[in-house]
Amino acid sequence: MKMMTRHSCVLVFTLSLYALMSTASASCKYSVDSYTTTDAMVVTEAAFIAQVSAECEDSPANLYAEVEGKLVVAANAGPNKYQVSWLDDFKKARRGDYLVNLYDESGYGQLRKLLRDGESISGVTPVHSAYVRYPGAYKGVWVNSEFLAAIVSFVLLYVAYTFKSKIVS
Amino acid sequence: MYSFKSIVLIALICTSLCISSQSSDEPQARLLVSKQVLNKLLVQDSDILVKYTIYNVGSVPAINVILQDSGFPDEAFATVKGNLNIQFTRIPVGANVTHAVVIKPLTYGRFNFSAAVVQYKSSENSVEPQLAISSEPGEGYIISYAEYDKKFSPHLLDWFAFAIMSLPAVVAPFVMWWISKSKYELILKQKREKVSKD
Repeated sequence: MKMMTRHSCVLVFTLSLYALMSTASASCKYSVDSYTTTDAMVVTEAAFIAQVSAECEDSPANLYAEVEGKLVVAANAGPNKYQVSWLDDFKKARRGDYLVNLYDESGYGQLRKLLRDGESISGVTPVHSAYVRYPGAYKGVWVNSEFLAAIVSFVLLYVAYTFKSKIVS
Repeated sequence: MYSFKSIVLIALICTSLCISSQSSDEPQARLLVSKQVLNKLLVQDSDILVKYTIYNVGSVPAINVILQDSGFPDEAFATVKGNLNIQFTRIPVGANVTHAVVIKPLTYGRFNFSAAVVQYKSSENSVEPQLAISSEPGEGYIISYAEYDKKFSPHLLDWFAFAIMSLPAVVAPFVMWWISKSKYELILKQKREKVSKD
């Protein structure tokens, strides 16, 4: 009985140590700064750029991102700095928030394996998650201002003409 | 206006000027690098989207790939978002890596979009870094913001000013007619009252 409790004690200790270690390795503080191109009058594609900066002693050598089932390799942009970028068609790009899940090397390995087997990837916890907001594209004015001015003047002309014929009759 | 895509396609074919010094029988990573400007118009103070695509057509992964683009001088361009100097630790065989940067031109005029330089280790035990040059998007004309605004803005203020200017020509005859009408009606009313009194 004593032996058992000792064993369980050891087990609990190792478990807590493991938990501590895992939190220590995941203690990096990430911040994400994002940008999307929205002026469809000038640019031909919607670009999503997320600049990630990590605040910790040993930041991961490589960072990977998963956005709506797509895997993106983050570019290293200096010490503790990464950039995740992807492009989409203006017609296809959905307006709203895009969830970007960031993974380190081990998480990415698990993710690739799960995706290859066609399984759900919800079991893999990302090192950080952030939203990139895409407010939709500006594709120019709805109605041409010249057209609108012509319509307004025609309406005015019609009102004046009917009024005149009413007086005359 | 500027069909960059056609230029890029042609440039992509003659891209990747790999200056190889090693023997060809050793398996090597070979990178094709394209640089594209994804813009319909180049406008001063508006976004220019630059897309870099790196494709490994070799037989082994490319290691420590460094992409550097020094084609945008600080006095003429500001970076909106993204990095012009980046590094990928590994690009596997057959993999396609894209990178996007948004910049904005501070002035207008003709500008030559030059190539970016990529440096990488073509195999695990290669000592000398391999150099590759991306495709060149070519020359483009950056129009001034005023010119762009003249062509593409909704001109609401201009039309409002026009409406105000044309208002006297419409309102003045109407007011004159209204005054005479009310005067006539007043006389008519007085006459009617007189008749009813009699």
